[in-house]
Amino acid sequence: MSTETTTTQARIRDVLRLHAHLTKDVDALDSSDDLYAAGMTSHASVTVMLACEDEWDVEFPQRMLTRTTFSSVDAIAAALAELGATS
Amino acid sequence: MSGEAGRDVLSRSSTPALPRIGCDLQRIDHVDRAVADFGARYLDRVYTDAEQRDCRVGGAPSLAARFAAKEAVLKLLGTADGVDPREVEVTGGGGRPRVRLHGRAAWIARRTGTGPIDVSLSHDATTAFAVAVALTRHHDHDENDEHDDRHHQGEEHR
Repeated sequence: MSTETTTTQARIRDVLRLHAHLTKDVDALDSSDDLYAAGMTSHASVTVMLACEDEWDVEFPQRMLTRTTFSSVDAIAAALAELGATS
Repeated sequence: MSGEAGRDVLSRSSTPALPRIGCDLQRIDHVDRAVADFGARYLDRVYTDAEQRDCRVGGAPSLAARFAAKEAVLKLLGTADGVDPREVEVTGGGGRPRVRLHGRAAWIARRTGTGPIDVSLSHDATTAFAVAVALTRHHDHDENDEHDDRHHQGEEHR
C-alpha cells in the first residue's frame, strides 16, 4: 500500500470518526468493511460526503450519490480518486 | 408529472396495482449536528427552498421528519442510487404533507408505475419517523436497472 493511499485512508477514517456516527470503532474496521453494517445511516452518509468535500475541496456529482460510493473506506477512497482528490 | 398523470400511469397498465410502503427513522440530534457543522451547505444540498421555509419554525425535528420522509419514499421506490435528496420534496408546514418528485426520482416513479405517494410524519424529543405509501404496478423493481438522464430531466411526479 503506498504512502498516499495510507494517508488518504487515515483522513477518511478521521472524517468517519467525526461524522459517520458508527456503532463500531472505525479503527477496528478493515478498509473494505461495510460502513452501513457498522451503523452508518443514509443521513450520516450525507454528512460524510459534505465533510469529504470540505477536506479535499471536491464536489460529489449527482451520479455518485449512491449507496456504493460511501459503503467502505476503500469505496470512498476510490470516489475521491475519481474526483481527482490528492492525499 | 401531475397527480392526474400519476393516476393515469396506474390506470393504463394491465398489471394489478398493489400497495407498497416505505418507512424510516431519523435521529434529531444528528440533523441538529449537521446544521451546526455544515450550515447552509447541508440545508441546500438536502432540502428544497420550500422545505426549508416549512421547517423554519419547527427546526431540527421538522428537518429530521422531512429527511425520514425522503428516505421512506426512496425505500418505497426501491432505490436511492443517483437520486438527489432534493428530488423527493415533502412540503406542508402544518397540514397534510405533500410529496412531489423531480428528476430521477420522478423517472423511477413513472417507470415503476407508482401512483401518487402519501406520507405521514411524526417525531418525539429524540427521533423522527415517516411512512410512505403508494400503489405500484411494478412489483419487482430491479435496483440495478440502468437509467438514462435524457429520459428524466425535468420530470415531475406528485
